[in-house]
Amino acid sequence: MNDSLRCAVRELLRRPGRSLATLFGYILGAAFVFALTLLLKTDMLVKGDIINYMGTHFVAFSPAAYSGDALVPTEQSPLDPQNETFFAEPMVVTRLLPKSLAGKISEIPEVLAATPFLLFRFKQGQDGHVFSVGGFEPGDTAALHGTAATSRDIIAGAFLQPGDRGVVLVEETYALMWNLKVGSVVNVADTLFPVIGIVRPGVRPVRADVFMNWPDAEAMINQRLSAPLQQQANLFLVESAGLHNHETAMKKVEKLMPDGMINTFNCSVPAIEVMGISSKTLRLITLVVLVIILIYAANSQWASVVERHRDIAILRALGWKTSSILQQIVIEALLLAVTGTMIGMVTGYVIAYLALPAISPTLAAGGALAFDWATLAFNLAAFSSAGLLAGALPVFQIVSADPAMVIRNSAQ
Amino acid sequence: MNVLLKVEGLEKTFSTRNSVTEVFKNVSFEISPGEVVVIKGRSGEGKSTMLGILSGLDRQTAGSVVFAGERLESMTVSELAELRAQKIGMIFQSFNLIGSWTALENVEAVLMHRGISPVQRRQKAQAVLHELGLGERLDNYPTELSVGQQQRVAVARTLVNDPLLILADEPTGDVDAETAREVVELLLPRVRNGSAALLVATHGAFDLNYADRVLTLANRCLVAENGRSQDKGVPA
Repeated sequence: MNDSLRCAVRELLRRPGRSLATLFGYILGAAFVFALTLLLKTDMLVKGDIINYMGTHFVAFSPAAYSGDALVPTEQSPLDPQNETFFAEPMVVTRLLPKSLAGKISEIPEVLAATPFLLFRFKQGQDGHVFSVGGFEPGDTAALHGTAATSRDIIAGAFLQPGDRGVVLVEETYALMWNLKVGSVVNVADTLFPVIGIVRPGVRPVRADVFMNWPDAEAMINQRLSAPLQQQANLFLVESAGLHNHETAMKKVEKLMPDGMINTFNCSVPAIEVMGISSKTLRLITLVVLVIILIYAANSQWASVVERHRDIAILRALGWKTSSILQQIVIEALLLAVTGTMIGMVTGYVIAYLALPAISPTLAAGGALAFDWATLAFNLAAFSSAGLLAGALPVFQIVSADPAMVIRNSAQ
Repeated sequence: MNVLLKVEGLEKTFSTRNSVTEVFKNVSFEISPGEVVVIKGRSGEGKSTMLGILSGLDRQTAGSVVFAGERLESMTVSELAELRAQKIGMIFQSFNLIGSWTALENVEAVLMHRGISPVQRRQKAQAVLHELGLGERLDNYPTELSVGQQQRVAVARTLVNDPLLILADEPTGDVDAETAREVVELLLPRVRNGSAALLVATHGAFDLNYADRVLTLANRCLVAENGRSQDKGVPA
């Protein structure tokens, strides 16, 4: 073994051009494949986060009961049921449920957070237009941010703080329609509320024109009901504990609400499919590059053995065993492959790290590269195996030839 | 005198897809330590093939070869390699030194993978090269040596493992008469003191005055030429 290692090192140093060319092949291949794999993994992780953010929340509610064409009267019926009502979507009228249901929903293991929500349609007293008011518990933002609004949606002014009273946020479109700015006032149930912020929530399952803290919303809605609310809500905003728990969380919440409905965009499903296509394409490219580079490195390794077929024949004639020759060639191949792959992977990491901000600021903002030992081990194994095969296979071919014949033919 | 190499009824044929070519048949002879035996024959008569079989690099089709009491045909490839490394010295036409190795490394190669320490190996190779007058050229590559020096490196490589049998395939084929004479005279002391035997395959360039016996390979059979041996040629 010592002789083989010594001879292998000597052979590599004896042919610096060939050794460097082979080494460079491994460095290039490992760097490219490793960088691509790291970027792919980082991309997938960040996309996963985005999908988690976009697709793992839902709204639970219970549709109102009808008798014929009319709503079944309840204790807290709207005073103007033609224009004003609790609702989930424009055409879906909802009934009231105890606020405490949010606590029960939160206890489901697959649920990260749940919060009650009031969504009521008002008729403006002065000009008669209808608009919606959303009331939320201001300190309970975990379930709120994905379903209704979050401080990140602010485009002017400030978001509602838990202690804020008598002030509102307005949605951007509503603000544009009624020429509202920060400092303007909004008339809700004949009470004027200064606007402290304008939000752009984008696409969310719950949409309101005006947002208020719970006590203000409850007080204003109470003015438009036949009886005040008794710790009740008409919507429950729920955040699942990750993408993989989303479906289960929805099923369990539905079980808690026998007459309930779930409203979710479920955008995670198509997003996962798109992400799958994207990652499959990238994996294919990585595989193709890996194969090309492996063929290059293997070819170089193969040539370095084949060009020594006469020397190998001489050594066999002198009494070297096939196993000794094979051992030396394998050590040469492994030294080149392992050294080249290690240098290549370090290079690849640096390239990926430097290239990330240029490729995607979103990914770069997501934090460090998604380094993992499995990728490193896979690269090392793939390149070493290729080098090993490329080094060992020609040896088998060469040792099957009659050394005396090889020596004689090479002399001619 | 003890018999070092005993060949009996040796036969070799090459089979191709359409034909079977008989190289030689019924070849029998013996060599004892201290003998110089020449196998003479034209190109293509199978001299090199025979040396290949005697060194264990090739296998015969029929017959037996017993060397130093061991039957070659019953040995594995690995055992034959071991036998070559320990008991057989080979010298080739054109010397066949490894071009990218120094003179010392070329000689040392024979002692590698045999459990000999690098220091001992180096000392032994250096000693043989010194003995042959190459003490100053240890680290030179073959291309940096004259033909005569290359030939001495080849002889050193052949002698470094103290072989019992030296097989020489056209050792003087590619060199001038003076260099050829030097090759033989460098090998002869080991033979004449009885520690080894020399078997030379030649098409005629070798000086037959050095030979104790000359065997001629012709028409696929071996014929004793000078009558000193007991080998019996069988005419085709």
